Amino acid sequence: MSHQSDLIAKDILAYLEQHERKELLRFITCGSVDDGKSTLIGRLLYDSKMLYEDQIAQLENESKVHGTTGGGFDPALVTDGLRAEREQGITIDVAYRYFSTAKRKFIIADTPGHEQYTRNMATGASTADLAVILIDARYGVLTQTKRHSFIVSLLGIRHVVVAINKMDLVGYSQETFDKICSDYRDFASRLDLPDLHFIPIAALHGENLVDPSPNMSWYRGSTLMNFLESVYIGSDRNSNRQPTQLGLPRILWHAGLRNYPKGG
Amino acid sequence: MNSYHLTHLKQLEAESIHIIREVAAEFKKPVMLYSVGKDSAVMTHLALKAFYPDKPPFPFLHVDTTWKFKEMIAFRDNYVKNELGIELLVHINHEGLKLGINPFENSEKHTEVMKTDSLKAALNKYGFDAAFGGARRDEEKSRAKERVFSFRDKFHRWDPKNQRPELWSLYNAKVNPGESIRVFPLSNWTELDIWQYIYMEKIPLPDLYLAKPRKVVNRNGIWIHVNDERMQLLPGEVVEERMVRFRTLGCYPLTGGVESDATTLPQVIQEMLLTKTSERQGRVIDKDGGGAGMELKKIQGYF
Repeated sequence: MSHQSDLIAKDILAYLEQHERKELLRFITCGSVDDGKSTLIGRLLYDSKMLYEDQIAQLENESKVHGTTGGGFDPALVTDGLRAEREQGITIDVAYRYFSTAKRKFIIADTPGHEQYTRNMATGASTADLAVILIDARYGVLTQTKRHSFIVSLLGIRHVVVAINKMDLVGYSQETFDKICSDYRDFASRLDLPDLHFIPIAALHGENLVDPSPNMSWYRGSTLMNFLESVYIGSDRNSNRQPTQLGLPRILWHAGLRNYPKGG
Repeated sequence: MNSYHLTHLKQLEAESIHIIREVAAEFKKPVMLYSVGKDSAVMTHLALKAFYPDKPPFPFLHVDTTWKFKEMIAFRDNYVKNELGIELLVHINHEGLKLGINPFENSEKHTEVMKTDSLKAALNKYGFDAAFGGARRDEEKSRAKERVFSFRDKFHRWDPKNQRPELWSLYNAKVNPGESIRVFPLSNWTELDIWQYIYMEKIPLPDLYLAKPRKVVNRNGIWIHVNDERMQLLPGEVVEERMVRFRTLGCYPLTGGVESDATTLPQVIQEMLLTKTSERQGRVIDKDGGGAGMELKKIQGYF
């Protein structure tokens, strides 16, 4: 599947050594209902060949029954794992997905957009280094976009990519893209989002996800995948400046003093 | 950058050890479910590290369906029980045995009675309020949705539509008498992480994971191992000897082997990375009940 490296077939030991040293990036996808969060992740996994053949076969079957793409392959079904979710075509709880490229290993949390499931979005956001906030290009910045952005800021996620999705439905218009970016910047100036980026995408067709889109040649920035692979997160965790921690062995455990404080 | 830098495996290890210690500190009577497979092997290793040089302050529990590969039982007793000296409980559903439940006639019934019911009975019998399991989120789509601390009501049911918030590394350990949680310290590990960690840390495994000539029959396109004399052959089935290994370990009549020449760990990892099918593909029980098979089992109380 997935791990597109010639080293695997040629020299597995060298591959393992390389893989052993990869960095980990945890990110979430969030934004309003139907802005395409699950579709984005499904497509990202599909395009980077992270799905197994039996999984794709199962998905193709399910796309015919529950899909929202008129019988065609529906990438959203990759992450909508619960029965109720597939039946209703919505995301209820956060789903975690894993993939790695030659540079990094990723943990993605696909979070629900519905207002009543916002608490599940916060659960997913709390462990993330980076947030991908999706906006439907047809509707621009919505209430739920703002709510999620606020939570992202509140929980201290430093890196934010605003992915303006469904660009195909607005004729790949640069004007629309620029307008949404400026609306979002206006709103975000009141939040604490120190590292903010904008990428125009069409998730269903995989445009500007892994490969650059020929339909948006006016966009000169990096693709989403390229950005995720290269964003610098080394200084976020601050491993150097943490106070020294010493383990406290549980030496009193067997002395019948079980209620003593213990550390580890 | 020469600063202190954690690789992804070191981060995963630290996260898991933290979870294991949290449970030991917060719960009255935790237990670690042990299923002899590679995930259990990693979980055992992490539990040993978490409390070293002491032994883990909780027992291990193996829910034995009596249909496990005999190599698994030997490994469990020789290594975990005798060599590591871990307190090992083995639970068998004797009622089910008396009823003659077996995996050949009805695999769904077998799983329900000998695994799910048996697990629930064992947890009730000892009154465990937290049970560690080695499940990973990358295994299956309903598992991808589950919290690290997964709350179960007094009937051991999981309610996927009403999960507790779980922020940062703060885990909610509040349960009322009779309720419990299932804990998944390996939630964020992938199949590759597990193999890589086993390789790095030289963790012992049953040799079923390595290819060797074994007596097998082809059933519905998967290789089933003739592990003992109880194997029931269907009309027309022929026992052959093939180089086979197993990607997951369970009840032998329900676990499909793959043809392989991988006789060392790096070769197994190499094959895994080049394969085009997922590891649970060889599991017969996942296909029960259509696409939502695992979710239904979990709602009923299966891991």
